[in-house]
Amino acid sequence: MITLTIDGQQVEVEPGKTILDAAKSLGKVIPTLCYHPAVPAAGACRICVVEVVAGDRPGLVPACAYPAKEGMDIQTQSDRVMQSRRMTLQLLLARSPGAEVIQDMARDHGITENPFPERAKQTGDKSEKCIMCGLCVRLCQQIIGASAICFDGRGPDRKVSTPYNNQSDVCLGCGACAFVCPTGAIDPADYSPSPIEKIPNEFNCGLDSRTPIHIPFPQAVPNKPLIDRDNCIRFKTGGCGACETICPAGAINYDMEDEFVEEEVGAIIAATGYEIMDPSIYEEYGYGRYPDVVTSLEFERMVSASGPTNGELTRPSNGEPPKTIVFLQCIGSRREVNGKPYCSNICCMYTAKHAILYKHKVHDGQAFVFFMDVRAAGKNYDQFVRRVVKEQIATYVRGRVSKVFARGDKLIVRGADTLSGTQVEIAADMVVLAAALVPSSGIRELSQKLRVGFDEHGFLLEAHPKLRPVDTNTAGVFLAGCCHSPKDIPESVAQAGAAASKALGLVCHTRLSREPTIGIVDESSCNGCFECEGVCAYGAISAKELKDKKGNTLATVANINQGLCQGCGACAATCRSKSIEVQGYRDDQLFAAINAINR
Amino acid sequence: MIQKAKNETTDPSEWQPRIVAFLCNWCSYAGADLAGMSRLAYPAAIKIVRVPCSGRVDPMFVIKSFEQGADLVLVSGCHPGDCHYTSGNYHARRKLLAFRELMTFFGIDPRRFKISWVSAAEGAKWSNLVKEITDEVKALGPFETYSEILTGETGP
Repeated sequence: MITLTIDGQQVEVEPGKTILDAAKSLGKVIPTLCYHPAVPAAGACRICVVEVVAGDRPGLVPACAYPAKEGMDIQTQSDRVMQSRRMTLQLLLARSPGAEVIQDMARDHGITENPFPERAKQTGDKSEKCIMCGLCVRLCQQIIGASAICFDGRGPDRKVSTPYNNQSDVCLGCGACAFVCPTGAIDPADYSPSPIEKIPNEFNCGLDSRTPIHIPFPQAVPNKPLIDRDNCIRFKTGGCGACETICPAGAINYDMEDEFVEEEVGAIIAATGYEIMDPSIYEEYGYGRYPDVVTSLEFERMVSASGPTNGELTRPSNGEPPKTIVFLQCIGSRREVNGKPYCSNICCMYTAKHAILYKHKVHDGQAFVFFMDVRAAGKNYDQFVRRVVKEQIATYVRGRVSKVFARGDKLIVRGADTLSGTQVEIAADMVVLAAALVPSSGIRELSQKLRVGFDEHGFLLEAHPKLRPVDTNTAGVFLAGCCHSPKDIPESVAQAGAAASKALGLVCHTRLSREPTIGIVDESSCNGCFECEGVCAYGAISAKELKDKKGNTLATVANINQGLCQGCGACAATCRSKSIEVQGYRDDQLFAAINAINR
Repeated sequence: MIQKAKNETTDPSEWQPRIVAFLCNWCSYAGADLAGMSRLAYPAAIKIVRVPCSGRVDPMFVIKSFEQGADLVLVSGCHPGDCHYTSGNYHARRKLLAFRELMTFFGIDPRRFKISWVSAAEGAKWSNLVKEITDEVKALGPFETYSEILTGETGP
């Protein structure tokens, strides 16, 4: 370890660390511009200079690039340092008058006048922001590995550009240069031939963007970031690796692979939730055509404090607060033709909630709700909706909307008011669609894996609609939440609790009780053809040798493992010597049933 | 609906067909159960024998049913791919379709033997299916070949 002194405080650092690292470990802030922890330092901007008083050659050195040495005595705020820093700022200000970071720094350092002539007098460009620190160039060459940008020209013409000032084919469009630029001088669109595509943030319904490293959603378990391989430069080109350099915990590992984990379990609870159906199939509502027509889930994100707008409700089209908002219920639900005939169960309640949230955000706004019936069956549910109506938080209009279309910057919602028997038109700023709930995609594959039936809409089937609503027909598989049918939170929690206790009830015993309907082999008539073995889906049938007292093998017959047999009877129907019977469904029992029917 | 059902059974002298249906416990039987729970009406000509799986249905059951006076036999199971027992309905399909080819040899019109797939959610499909096959068997008329042999009205 190396021991040095910074502003009179002793600090120990590992060999190879810089003065800046040492100062950071003491919690001292040294201003930097051209420095980024992931990029090898160049000491180009000279803003981070510190004074070496003793222990090395005395003088000013750039803290970001100068290695810490044993016995150094460093001053970060000495008169020499501050004088140099002010001079540097004045020079930078003359060169790059448009850089706000430089302006702020100059103000903080008490610079009011600049003795240096503004470069803008020659170029006429007062908005120049680039300070020629070269951080972006170093990043693109050494970290990203693309070398798409470089310094170009000499003297006053020097600038950061691509070869021949053309858009560069080697530019990946990653935008890292713009990200690290201390003064915000770079627009990657100048360099990249392909548009810089933002990665939509899935959790916010794509209303904002995210970085390749992200935490999928707040309260994720585990609440840790992950790397989106499809968009990560490291996985695309092998370059970058900035996160690995920066992470102080050394937690980044690029060699991790997705893996299949196999576990033996005694019970499975399916709780795969729901998705919102895409309402753009209903052209009359204009979803996908007008940016101000949003789904309820998008609205939910918009008004959320952790959402894309930090909870500020604005029209997606122009950023203004929506003064009139119309909520349309039953979009796709309770619709026999081109829709889902079932009620999505949660929309009446969340629409009432959204109306209240809307009033919280836009106090002078007007909310309308088009509904078919208000289905508020639940504890305190009806009171909640009544409150919204009584306190005039929203105007409830009973009827369907036939068309949403644009007029000027407004959306005209045309619908029927069936209570007054008139047609109504509302000029709205925003329209929120309560689209139908559908099962998660992939539920069909899941149902086949679990051997659980599903209904025509894809919801998993319970064993009995009234008496066994949590079980399925497959032993040990239970259902919870919206994979079974559209449900609100209390119902889902109740069903999940029931499923959990059913699962525990199954696995807490040392012995399993089961249905007695399993196959039995008549060993006296079985001729050992093993046709049955081929049709058994469970591998429950094996060969058994019948031996006499002396141990001589008399015959080889089929044997059914009672633990594995599920009692389907495929073996019984296949057996040519009629040597297998399924208990409860024996041939004589079924023949008796046939005879009884036809009597 | 009640009115309509009444009309269907007004004439007692009219011949009523007898249909024997072998339904798997998990899909078709549950589908028929759902039809009942949903109060869907369908002809009473059908008599159901519950089996654990359509794969349990031995062709002997079908012949026995005709011998005992059935006019039509139906075997119904889970949709292919959705068998509760993984593959029982595939075995049933293979075996029973082969069996149907042999039915003429037994002196039975193959049109009197039906195979269908009805899931536990398809109560309405079950109800419609029963209506359809009842109409079909009414058009075919009673199955008398075996009873004639048994009563000795016509010799072989």
